[in-house]
Amino acid sequence: MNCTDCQDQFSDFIDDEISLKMARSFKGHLASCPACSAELQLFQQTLDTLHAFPAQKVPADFVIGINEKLAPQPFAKLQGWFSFISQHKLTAGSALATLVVGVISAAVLQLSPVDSEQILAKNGIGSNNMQAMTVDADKDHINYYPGIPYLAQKSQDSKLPKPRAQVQFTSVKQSTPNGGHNSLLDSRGPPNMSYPSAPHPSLSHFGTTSPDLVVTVHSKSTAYQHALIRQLTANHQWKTQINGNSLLITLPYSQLADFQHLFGPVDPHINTNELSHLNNSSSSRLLTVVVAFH
Amino acid sequence: MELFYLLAPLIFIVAFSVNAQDEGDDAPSETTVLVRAVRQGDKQAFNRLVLLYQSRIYNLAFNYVKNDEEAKDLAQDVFVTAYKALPKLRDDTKFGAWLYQIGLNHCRNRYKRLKRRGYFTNKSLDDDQSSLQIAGGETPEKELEQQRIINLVRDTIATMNDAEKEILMLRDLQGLPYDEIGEILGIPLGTVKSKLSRARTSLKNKLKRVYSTL
Repeated sequence: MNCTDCQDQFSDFIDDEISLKMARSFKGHLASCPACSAELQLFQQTLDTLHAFPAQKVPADFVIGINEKLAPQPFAKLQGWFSFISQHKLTAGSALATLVVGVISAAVLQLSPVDSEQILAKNGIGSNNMQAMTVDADKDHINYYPGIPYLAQKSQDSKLPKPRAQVQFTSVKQSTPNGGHNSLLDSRGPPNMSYPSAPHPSLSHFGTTSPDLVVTVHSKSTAYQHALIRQLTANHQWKTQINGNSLLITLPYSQLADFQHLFGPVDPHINTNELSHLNNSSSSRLLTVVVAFH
Repeated sequence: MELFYLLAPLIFIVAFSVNAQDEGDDAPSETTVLVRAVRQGDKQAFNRLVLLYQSRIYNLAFNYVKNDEEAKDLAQDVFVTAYKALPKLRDDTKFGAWLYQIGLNHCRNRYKRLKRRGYFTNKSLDDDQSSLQIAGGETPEKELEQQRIINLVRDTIATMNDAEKEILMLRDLQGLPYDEIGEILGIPLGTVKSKLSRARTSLKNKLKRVYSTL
């Protein structure tokens, strides 16, 4: 027997699974080979270490835990579904698919086209009797949400105009020294604009004929109109009346700027200096504004 | 005639012992009785089966994952699977080997999952909770040294392949006989011996290298 054969018998020898004949030969080799004897000693030590491993005590609630796991659980089907997803690594894929669908849906909704020129022509904007200023309140999809000035201003620089509404601000002077016309637009406004002192047709619904300001909103987007109405009626300091497509709002003069913000960027802006005579007349002077939706 | 009287007690003893052995072979073991009771819907019998095997399965799991909580959850899952799959067990007398097969499958899967998550690489030797269960009576220094060696051997076993690891666990940590190991692993007795010999030699050589670097 050589050393390799001898060392192959270590395991069987220790477990007493070796034949008598093989045992005699094995022991004979060991007696004459110190290297194999040393290896056998190491082999035995290794097994002694394994056999000395401490047995772990089973936790006291072990059986209870099994019975809990075996008990029928509510939402078991749902848990099974989630476990199926986690086992098949569908989470990341599903999340990605949902994200893609969401982005595409949002893009489609926001890019719904509105022909601004067609609307301008249809409403006769540019005529002298009613024109105050016409702005693309929604040059960008950001303007879809009124009342966010920063985003609205940013949208004015957008290279992809997607008009959703046009807004006209028309002021109506109470007493007109220059023949019933008053310019409430600042210097950035188009030249030679004039405004009628005649009552706006929308006011007939409210039983008044003297608004300080008429805002005409041209928009095909009902979502935009609803959002704007929500914003206008949210301020409890403003008295609002709705009639058909028009909204009569009474608000303090000091809050005119807040009111204007709700419409996003309006350029040219209302020249509030021109309305100062209202403010001077009384500190508690209220503005009457009609917002007409078309 | 005198010879008959001399041999009669011997004959009687041999006959009685053979008879007793036959009765022992025919009588179903406690495990088999319990398995049959569980099949008939006796849930208490299953709890009794759990009590009979919980230590073996829990220790098998612990030696695989080296953590109390993981081992507990893993071993519980083994019994849950066994309970649900019991109607598929063909031979009631093979319940033990069958349970170990389920146990090893669970251990392999859990080990792979934990390894993928880096569970074992993030785990320091201080986390090894087996140190809490070292028998007392030794000096603290000796206990510490014994624990250090055990941890070293555990870590060395963890580096072995599944086949070597499992046969070592079944034989040298669980103390199962060769024939039962053969049933569990589905290999003949000769293969059990040769695989065990290779696994033990492999561990010895690995430890030799480890000790030489200390």
